[in-house]
Amino acid sequence: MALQSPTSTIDRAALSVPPSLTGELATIAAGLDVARCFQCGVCSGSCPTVTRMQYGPRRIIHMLQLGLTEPVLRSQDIWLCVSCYSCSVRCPQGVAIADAMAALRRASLARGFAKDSEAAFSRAFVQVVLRGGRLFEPELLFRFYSSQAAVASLLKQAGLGLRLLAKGKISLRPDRLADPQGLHDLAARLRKAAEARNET
Amino acid sequence: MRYAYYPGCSLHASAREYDLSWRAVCEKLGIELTELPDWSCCGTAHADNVDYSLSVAMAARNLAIAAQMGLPIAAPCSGCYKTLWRSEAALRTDPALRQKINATLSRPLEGPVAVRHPLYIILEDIGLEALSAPPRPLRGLSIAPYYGCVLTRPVAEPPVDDPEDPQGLDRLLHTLGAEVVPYPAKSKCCGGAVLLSHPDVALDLTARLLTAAKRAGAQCLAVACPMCQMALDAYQQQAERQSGEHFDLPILYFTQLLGVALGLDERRLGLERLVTSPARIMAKI
Repeated sequence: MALQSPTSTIDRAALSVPPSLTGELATIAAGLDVARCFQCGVCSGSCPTVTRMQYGPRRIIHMLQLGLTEPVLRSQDIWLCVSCYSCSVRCPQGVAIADAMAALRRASLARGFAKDSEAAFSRAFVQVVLRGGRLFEPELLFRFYSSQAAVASLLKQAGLGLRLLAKGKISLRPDRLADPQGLHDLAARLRKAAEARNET
Repeated sequence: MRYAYYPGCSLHASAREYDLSWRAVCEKLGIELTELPDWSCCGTAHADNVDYSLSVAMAARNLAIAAQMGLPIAAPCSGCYKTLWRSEAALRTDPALRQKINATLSRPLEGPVAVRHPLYIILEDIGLEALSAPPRPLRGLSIAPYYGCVLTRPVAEPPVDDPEDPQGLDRLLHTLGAEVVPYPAKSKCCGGAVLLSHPDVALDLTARLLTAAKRAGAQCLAVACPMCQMALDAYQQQAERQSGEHFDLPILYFTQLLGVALGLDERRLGLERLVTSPARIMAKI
């Protein structure tokens, strides 16, 4: 099977990223073990959300091999990955594709490239659990939907919310740790340690 | 058989019936559970999206509590289960990571901690033979077993089941007297991971899965994860609207079905808390 030319859907302008950025971003790809990929496409064939993606996992890996890291980090594809690990367990070359997608999501967030709603959701999730130690769903929903300015979406779920409330599936009282400061302190210590090592 | 029980956020909130039925089943089968005192959120895939070290540290805080108890962990939520076992494996095999994470914990993690999922605790500790003549067999019930993604993927060392065609839940339901419905989606994604951030994507996956189970003749699904249960049950009506299909498929935790077969009082199993009522199919048993 002839390899499809990636240039058909990849923005040519993306090839002209500043060299310094390429250098920094190149280290991300280097840590992801994508060199072994021989482009068989089993990952994209196994991906439950590939039809929603612009590139799909095979092309994402190919782009990383070619050093096109920035368009990958700016792509919504990495946020459409549902972390089902179908690609990872099927990859004949043992590339940890789903873990690579998670690493790309982190790199995308850290550089401020992430615009996807799942990025906002993940950030809101972490804020809520660091504050109380355990997830408090009403707070997460409020933070997430307000970050998206999506009052209409929230209202659309109001009926379901009431039904779940009636079933006792939503608690209006947060389930907190004895020492809710514990996780918060832990995160602060991690941040300080990372700053000391000058990690991003 | 003693376990450090890690309920995770869901079993204390939206999946209360999973907590109730798992505890009831354990009591009946002689599995002793001690809830981890002051456990915290495992961080799941969302923390991993934001900060890898933080996600491992959040898991490690809980692993350290279990290590101090000297007990293996039982984690019924597949998301927690996967997060905890993978973090434990990473911390065990990467001394530099362990040192870095332990430096931030007020209670450092010492020694290995076994992390297990209740489905495989039942299958391996109790065994199918002990369950082969239950007081109330599930005869007359056609059940589609649903494993979801992260119960069997990524593959643990040693593997708990086949990542593509797992068998554990099939065997348990068959042993309990149910008719196990074969269908091609038992380990496909339910969309639960992106239910709120990408509802249309999630509902597509949910509908695809429920359609496959319905066409194969299932009267209900058996699940082993609160996120899967939420997607397939609470969002079932929305999946019906988006796909134009009709499902009316109750989504039961495997612990609820096991509890029914063991003759436990249905009120102790939280059957009434499910959104799609299982009353009609329960009458068939």
